[in-house]
Amino acid sequence: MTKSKVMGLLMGGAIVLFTAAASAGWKGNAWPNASCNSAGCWGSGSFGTTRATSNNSDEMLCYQSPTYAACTVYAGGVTASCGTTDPNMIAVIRSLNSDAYIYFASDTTGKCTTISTYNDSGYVPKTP
Amino acid sequence: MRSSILVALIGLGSCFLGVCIGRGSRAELRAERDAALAAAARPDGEVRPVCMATIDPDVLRSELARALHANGAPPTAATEPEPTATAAKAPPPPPSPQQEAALEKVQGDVDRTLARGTLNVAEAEDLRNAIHQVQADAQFELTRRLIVAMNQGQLKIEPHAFPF
Repeated sequence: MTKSKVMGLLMGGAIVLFTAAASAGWKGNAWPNASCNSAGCWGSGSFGTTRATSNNSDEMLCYQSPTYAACTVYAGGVTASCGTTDPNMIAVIRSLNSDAYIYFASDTTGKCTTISTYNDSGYVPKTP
Repeated sequence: MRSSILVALIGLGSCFLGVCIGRGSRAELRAERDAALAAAARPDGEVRPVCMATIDPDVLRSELARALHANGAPPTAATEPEPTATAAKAPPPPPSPQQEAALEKVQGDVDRTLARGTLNVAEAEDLRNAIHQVQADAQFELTRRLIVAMNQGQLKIEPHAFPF
């Protein structure tokens, strides 16, 4: 192989690498987390990443009715959950999409003290 | 010719490195953001709210009115309670005999579940169905009891055995 062909291959490879890097958006994972202490519990994670875990047990879900809502994360055998009748928090839960990231915290009575959510292009979508 | 090719390669390499560094910084920002959220409930014993969405508008309105009044401002119509808000807080209708019977049954189910300390998928489905038969406020109270037990490790649920 001539030197010019080698250089051509190198240049081509560099261009391919550069193009791939420049066209890809940020991608990240938001693994499920559940933790509790004497003050309460907190849970977080994205639906897509949680579904992609390999252990066939981690799961997160949010339930909503017109008057109350509840979220739970089951991660590594630990469960963190909270429930709320606060209309504003119910609205936040109602706004979740299927790939959203959610974070919540509860007090010792099981009531949600915090609920926040992100719709982020970087988090992986759910796959079969 | 050779030197120009080398310059081109160096340029492309620099751009590639720049993109990589940018991606790293973005990932670090996400990690910092998630860490900040997680820090809201550190195991130091304090759960700190990080969401302002729980402020009751009525409370906020009355506090503002009180502050304005303290500063000599005349009361405004906004300080009056809104009829719709009052109507929304009306007590729910009393439960029907069927709902009372359903409530009695599901309370027993929840009591037995908590006494047993475990919940499998089939039991969770039965519990969900039973809870949905009672009035909304009772549904929340029953769910909350189960949540407290789960959070405190007194109710061990199997994977996918969520009672709500």
